[in-house]
Amino acid sequence: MMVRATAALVTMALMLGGSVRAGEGVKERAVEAAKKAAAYLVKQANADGTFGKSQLAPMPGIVGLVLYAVAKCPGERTADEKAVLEKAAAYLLKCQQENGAISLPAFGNDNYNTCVAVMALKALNDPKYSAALEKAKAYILSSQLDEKKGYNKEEHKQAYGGIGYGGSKRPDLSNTAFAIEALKELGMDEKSEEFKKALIFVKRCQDNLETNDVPAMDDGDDTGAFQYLPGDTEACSEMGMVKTRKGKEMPKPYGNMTYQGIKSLIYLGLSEKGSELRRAWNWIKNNYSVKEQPGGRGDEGYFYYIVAFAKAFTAAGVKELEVAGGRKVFWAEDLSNHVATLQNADGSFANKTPRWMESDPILSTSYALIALDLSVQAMGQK
Amino acid sequence: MRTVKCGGLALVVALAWPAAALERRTVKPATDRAGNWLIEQYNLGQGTFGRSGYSELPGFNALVVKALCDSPRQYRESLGPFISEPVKCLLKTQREDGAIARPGAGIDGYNTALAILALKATANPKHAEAIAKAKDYLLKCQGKDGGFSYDQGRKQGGDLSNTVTDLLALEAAGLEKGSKAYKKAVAFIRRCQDSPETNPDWADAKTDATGGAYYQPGVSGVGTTTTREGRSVPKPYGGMTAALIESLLICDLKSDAPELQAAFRFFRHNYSVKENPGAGMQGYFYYALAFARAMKAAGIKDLELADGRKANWAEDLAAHLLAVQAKDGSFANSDPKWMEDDPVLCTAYALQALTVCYEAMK
Repeated sequence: MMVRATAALVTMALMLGGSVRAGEGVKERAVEAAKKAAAYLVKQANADGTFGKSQLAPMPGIVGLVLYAVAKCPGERTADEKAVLEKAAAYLLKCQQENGAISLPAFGNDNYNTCVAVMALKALNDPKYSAALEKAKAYILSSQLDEKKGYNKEEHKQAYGGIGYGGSKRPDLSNTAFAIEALKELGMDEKSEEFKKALIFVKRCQDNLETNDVPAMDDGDDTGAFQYLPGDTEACSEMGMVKTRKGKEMPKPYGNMTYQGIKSLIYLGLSEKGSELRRAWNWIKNNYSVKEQPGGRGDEGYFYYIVAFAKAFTAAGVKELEVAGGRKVFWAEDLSNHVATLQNADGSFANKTPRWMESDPILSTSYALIALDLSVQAMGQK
Repeated sequence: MRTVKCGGLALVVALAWPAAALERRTVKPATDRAGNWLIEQYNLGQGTFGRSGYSELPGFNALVVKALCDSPRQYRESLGPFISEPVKCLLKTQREDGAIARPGAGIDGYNTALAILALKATANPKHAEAIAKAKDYLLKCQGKDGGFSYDQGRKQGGDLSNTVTDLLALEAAGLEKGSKAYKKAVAFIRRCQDSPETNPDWADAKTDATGGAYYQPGVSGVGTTTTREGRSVPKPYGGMTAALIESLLICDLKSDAPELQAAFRFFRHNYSVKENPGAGMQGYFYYALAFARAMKAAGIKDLELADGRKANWAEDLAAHLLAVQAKDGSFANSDPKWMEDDPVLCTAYALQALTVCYEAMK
């Protein structure tokens, strides 16, 4: 009887479009899930500073992600945990190349690996890593596609100011967003030339007719969402093409890039009142989900998504959001509630869909832990 | 199917079971590695790729540009100087008569055709005028015999390699189906095929009727072979046979035409993704690309072989290219013939071939 009455009340609340607050103890459950995830990761530590037994284990980016996630976990680190983190940090230093990249030739992806390693070492807050971090910073900046590499703002509209997988490789918003975050952690100024150039690239990834000066993107639906790189070819979205109102096939904008775009614009110093952020948030309000990536394909890249999601909200300082239909949502509660249901008994997470390496439990557990950490942080400040 | 007595059931099952299919998504990273390697070979500010003497040729750089533009990453001029600069060089090199060639370097027709293909691949409408001018020049490279050669008015007549390249370029430049140039070309192409049924030059001669093709009427490019009856004839080989298929399809012949049926027969009996049939490793990467384009243009998914097996050529070829790709993403040929001693050229061919396979695997 009691249960039925409660259910009826919830249904009514939903029908009225009012917010349904999760019950008490949401934050506690999130903390518990985070601790379990962290314990799982620490347990997978190998003697050489890496984690897990998969082929990806030696990849510096994976080691860095674990290190970052565990270091940021709520509560104090135990002595054992600290020892594991120190070892992981030492491993990352060993992976630093002559040019400053923290990566291994066997795995490529130099920019991703270096950026994640930077965030990881920075999270330990120890001056002994300063020299390595400076070298890594120089490497990241060396990959920015600008005048020094023969790029110019008007002629190379798909690429200028962006960063790709490293060296001279073509840029994309994912790599650029990682680079911006790492550089921001290293104290890069919004007014720096490098950030100004990065802003040009990020703005050009947005389906925004008001502010995007790439002619190839004039046929978009003006959704405010972001794609993988500027342009009108299929290669400019990881999610294929979509037919726009103008009847043209255009690259499909999607959630992962939109949250990365929002976070990047904030780090690059754009005002929340500007067209770029206003319209991006507007898309989020119409496509709010903690269960799947809007504009995506099923589970593909879900764990990457929840990190981008939590980081964008955190960067914006937004805790509540009024989404389409007037419903008020508390993202941290929604996200941590849902993520907790995906946790395995041993504390790990893994994506059934292997794309972007997410079937690897070390990677996905680290992503989930970061999302949980940020949710707990947001609930703590409420 | 052959069964091996001592192997028992397990072996029979293993033989009957198709080989694990190569997945499309495994091919894309290989195209990325090849593309990234080519980009690394770009000489900033020069409009050229690599360090070999070949980079003096506009057609050589054009080939790399096309490979990058056609690749799954769809490189464009707006994506970087490694496309925008070589394209500018091509345009600057264009002469009054429309040829895109370096003065004194010769082989103007070949360079012009490759330049057209590169300019078209950029998908930039601004190049329409340059392409149209180059097309007019190219049309004048067609000889009296209907074949195209390296230049206008070469005495030795046309060859099948220039003919297929020029036809691809003319088609890309929008030459209408039914144009005289296509009709004239068919007459020439026929004469490059080991097919007494359709080759007027061989009408009274007894060859092995392999259906294969060679470089010029009566001239192979890879030497001679002895027929079953002991007669020495030009040796047909894979690269030119694929070129023949592509050429005839551009000229609007249908797959059931006897010339094409004969050419398919050659591949049914001489199917290989590991070497240029009839020529070993000579011109292997040129062959890989021509073969892939020919099979795709003919709409063939599984090629039925003479022994009854069905070959998924796109998966087979992509799997082999992945297996021989160097760690750094490049490709190289042990045989230097036809400029394949340059890994930039081999990688550009291989990237295009992989792209065709990737598209065919959709």
